[in-house]
Amino acid sequence: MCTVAGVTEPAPSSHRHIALILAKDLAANLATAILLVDADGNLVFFNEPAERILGRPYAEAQMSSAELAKTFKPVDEAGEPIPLQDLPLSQAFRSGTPSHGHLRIESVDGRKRDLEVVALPLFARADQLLGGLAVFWERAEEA
Amino acid sequence: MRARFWGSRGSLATPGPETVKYGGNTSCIEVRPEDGSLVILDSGTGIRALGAQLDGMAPKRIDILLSHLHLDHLEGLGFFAPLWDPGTELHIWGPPSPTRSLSDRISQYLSPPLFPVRLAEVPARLQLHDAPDEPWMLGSATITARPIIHRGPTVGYRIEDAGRSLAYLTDHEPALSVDLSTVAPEWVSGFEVAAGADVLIHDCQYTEEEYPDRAGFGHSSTKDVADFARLAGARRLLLFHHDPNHGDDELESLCARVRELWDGGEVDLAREGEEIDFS
Repeated sequence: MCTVAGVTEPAPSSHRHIALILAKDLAANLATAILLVDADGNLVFFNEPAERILGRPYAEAQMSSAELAKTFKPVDEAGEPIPLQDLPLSQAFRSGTPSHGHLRIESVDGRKRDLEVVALPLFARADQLLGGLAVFWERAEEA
Repeated sequence: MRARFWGSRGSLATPGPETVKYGGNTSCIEVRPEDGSLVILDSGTGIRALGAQLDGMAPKRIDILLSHLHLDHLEGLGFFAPLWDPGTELHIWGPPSPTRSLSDRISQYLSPPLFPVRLAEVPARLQLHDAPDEPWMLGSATITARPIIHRGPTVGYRIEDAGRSLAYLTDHEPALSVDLSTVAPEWVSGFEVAAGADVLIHDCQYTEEEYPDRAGFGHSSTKDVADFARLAGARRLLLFHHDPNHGDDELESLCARVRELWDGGEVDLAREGEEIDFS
């Protein structure tokens, strides 16, 4: 028999759910631009392909999705601003189903970029929303 | 609190002279909180001998915490003597699945043609529970379950009792695609379960040389378990889920390697028959 002694420390409460950890790991290893938000809508990660499109590294972009939307000034094809609640990720959160949209953003470098976005809510169980991820890519020039 | 290993082998029971020191039975640990209640971690082949030892002395209520439902963690259940005693109130806890109940998944094994008797036919009074999101009490112990990285729904368990803590992460690959020496703890699978644990029982199935060909199988290498123990700040690390292809000598080499890589606490191999006293 052996004995152990020690003092139990409480685990930190900010630990991420395994589905978010796996989503982040997946995004970090893909060549497609992906951003990840938590259940409160806070941006928790975007990958290097997303950095190229958004024009800034993730390390400098710790913000809520509302602040993110404000930063990149999303507009529709007619140039009208898209309210936060109509962005694909907001729709996905609201409906609990994937959402798709077209939008134009202004990158930090000032370039206008036409994007297609697919947003997915992430559920651990049917009633447990953990966050969401948005996959996005630049639209090809129309002929 | 006390804990005793009844099986520390991974993947497949491996009896024989090469495994006689650390044991060949698959995962099963008996945990006795201060109030004397009986909590069992996994029901690999080691649970048969535990059931035999309980003969006539089994408490009315027994709780089995399943980390996941791979066979090496489940296959002993049908041979656990209290399952065949109508006086037993057997609670089985396991990882939730988004699609199937715990009963459905266990019944897939405990039913013909894989097993002669159906789960619904066993004499013990069974209650099956998805491991809840919030901590819960079993006897005097507080149990916390968290999903962890392995193949298929899997949870790690933390058992806290009388100021001591045991973390059980038997099949776990926290280093899958991340560098544990640089990543923030909040993004590490299993960290919340293991943080500051007095005893961390953790998967150490592979050498660093073996791991690259097995990445994604859901298990850890010597380096990964050392990095994880450092990150978690565990006080004692017990290497678990021994590979069936590793005999006693090879296991001792693995253990020596982990000691080289991490000197933050005591490192040992989990050994069948060993008892840990947390007092």
